[in-house]
Amino acid sequence: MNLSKVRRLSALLLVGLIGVAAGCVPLPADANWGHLSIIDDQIAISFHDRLALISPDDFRPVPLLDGEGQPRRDDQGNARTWTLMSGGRCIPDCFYAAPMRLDENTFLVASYNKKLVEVDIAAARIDETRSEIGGHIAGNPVLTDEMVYVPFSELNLVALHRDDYSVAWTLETQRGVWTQPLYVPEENLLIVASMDHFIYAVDALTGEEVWTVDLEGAVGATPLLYEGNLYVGSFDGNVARITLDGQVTGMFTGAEEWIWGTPALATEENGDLTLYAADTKGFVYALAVEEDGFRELWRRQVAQQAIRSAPIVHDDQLIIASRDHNVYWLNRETGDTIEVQTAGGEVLADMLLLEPGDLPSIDQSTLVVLTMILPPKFAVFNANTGGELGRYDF
Amino acid sequence: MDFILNPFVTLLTFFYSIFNDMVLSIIVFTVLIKMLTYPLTAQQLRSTQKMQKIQPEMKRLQEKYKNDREKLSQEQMALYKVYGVNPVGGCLPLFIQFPIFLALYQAINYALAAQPTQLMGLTGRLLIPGLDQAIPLNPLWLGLDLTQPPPISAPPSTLALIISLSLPILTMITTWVSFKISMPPPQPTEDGKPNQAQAMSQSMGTIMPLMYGFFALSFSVGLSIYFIVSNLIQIFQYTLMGRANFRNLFGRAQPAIVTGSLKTVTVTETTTANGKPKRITPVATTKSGGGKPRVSGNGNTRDMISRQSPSRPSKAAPKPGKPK
Repeated sequence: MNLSKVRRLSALLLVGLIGVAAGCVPLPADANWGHLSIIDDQIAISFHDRLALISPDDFRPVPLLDGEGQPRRDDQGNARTWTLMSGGRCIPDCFYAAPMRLDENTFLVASYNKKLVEVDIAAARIDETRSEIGGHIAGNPVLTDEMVYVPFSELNLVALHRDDYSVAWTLETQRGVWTQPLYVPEENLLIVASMDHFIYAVDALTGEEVWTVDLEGAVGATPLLYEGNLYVGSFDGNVARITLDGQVTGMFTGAEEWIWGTPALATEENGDLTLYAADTKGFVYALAVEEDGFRELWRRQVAQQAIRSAPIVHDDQLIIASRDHNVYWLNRETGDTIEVQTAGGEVLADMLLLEPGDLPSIDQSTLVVLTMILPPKFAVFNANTGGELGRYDF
Repeated sequence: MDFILNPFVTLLTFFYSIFNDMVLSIIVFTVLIKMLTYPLTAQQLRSTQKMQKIQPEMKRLQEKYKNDREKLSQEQMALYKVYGVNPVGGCLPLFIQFPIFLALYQAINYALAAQPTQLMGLTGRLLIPGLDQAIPLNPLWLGLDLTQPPPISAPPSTLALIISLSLPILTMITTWVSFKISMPPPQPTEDGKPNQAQAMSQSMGTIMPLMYGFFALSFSVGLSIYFIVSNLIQIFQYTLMGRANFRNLFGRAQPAIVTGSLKTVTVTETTTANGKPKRITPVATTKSGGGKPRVSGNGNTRDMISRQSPSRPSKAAPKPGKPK
């Protein structure tokens, strides 16, 4: 092969490589992680192109029954389960938000693709779609007696009248709202955490701004409300305590990286409060909540990659899940790792802890963990021991 | 790739923290990267142009030795040596720039992360403390989302539609211009047909703009801006180097220019006892009179005509050895 041919082939190969590389940027397949929740004594899982109701008896999708108690069947005669599936590659819908009960027969579900869909509960089919709501929906909407509050991942949050989905008011933000707003009915307040660094408190009915706090870093999680105080982390590596009237009464600074998940609180036997937060470098922080702020008790690098999901306090243990595919059980007092289990995929969604009595067939503390792998899968563990109870798809 | 990608992401975010404008940040970022890679660009351009210049002789050798690949390779290597051309000299800078290009592309996508999972990919990449306060970067520009492809089918405004249509067109035009002016003037050939390199250049000159135009339609608006700015800077660099052949834009071939005397290069081939070639030594001689080359060595002589640079005085050639 002569050199001219070599050069020609090299140039063509380079052009081809550029084309391939440009198309092979490692962007994630999904825009967001999923959600686990409890609705109607079932476990609701939403992720990627599907929404399913899972039975806590066997962690399989709930069988769909007709009015006579007989299994519903599809066109091929197969027994149907309560799984709402969109097309492949999330067309036309992507489900990352929890379903909300609109009425006796209907769920209201947000699709990432700028839609609100009403789902017939009995048939597990979409009844009606409200399109072009205003933006992509990454965070869970909130449903109240009169309103539906919908956060958009590009900009703003909109309040819709529940009966006809007409716009009641719009909260304008400088960046998207990627998390569920917090409705405080006693104060008629809606607390909105935005990626534009601000925490907004607005009148839930009128949208009038009551107060704002600048945390100087993006806020990607719903604040935790406890005894009149909000606890929230930011991308600036801070954790703030804010009263419901907008006063910042405590600030922890110095986390290694972004704090993205909602912190967890534990009440100790002596009445003291301990707050746990985790960051995207894999560090977990234990902070004593004191009158004038926070005092760091310990910090540990627990995981090798980001921790996004909220820590879970379970008795004297702290449960952490990470992007490194692992779930960690820590000693709350020391931060030492007690147990590690692999979930089988990146864990970015909040975990679901089921205590005995939460659901009819749950007789032991059970942890459900949703991963990012496709087809969608979740893992179930004994929350006390860390023992694996099973892995399931849906 | 992180060792390139992370600094790029950091730089882009740093510029944004200063200008608070993503487009301006991309422009400044692109200018900086093009300045840093300028030596590679210049080397690539010089190598390409040198290759183009020796194409007539290359073609002649290919015709002469079309049935003897080994000799053809030897002759080509000798020719490269005489003219100081590195056959891969034009490719190596391209391949070195390739990971840089890839990192640039990824940096823009990571920095402009519009979705939660995309932003998760940005964690740990910002090397300057305090830059986290700039996250997330504002992806909006004149009604367009820099993270999304141009919304041609559903533009939010007339201005957005105009920009959406302009970006792919500008990308194609600037890519075409940048490519065209970087090529040396097409040399006239004996049969009037373009030589190999010219043919390849013509193909590339068509494929590259179309490919980049497709990218501009398919990928983010921010990337299109990068392409356009990058091409404009490249055009400026070529012009500054004095190597921009704007005549190529109008498809005009340069007439052959011969200055000074022709230099004949005689290749002396020494052979081993069994007649196999041992070494090729190019020796320059001055052709005169009937132009017949002197025979040296074992009688194997090949003539190569070169165009002598007017800045170089001709040298008297050493006398070839007596034939054995």
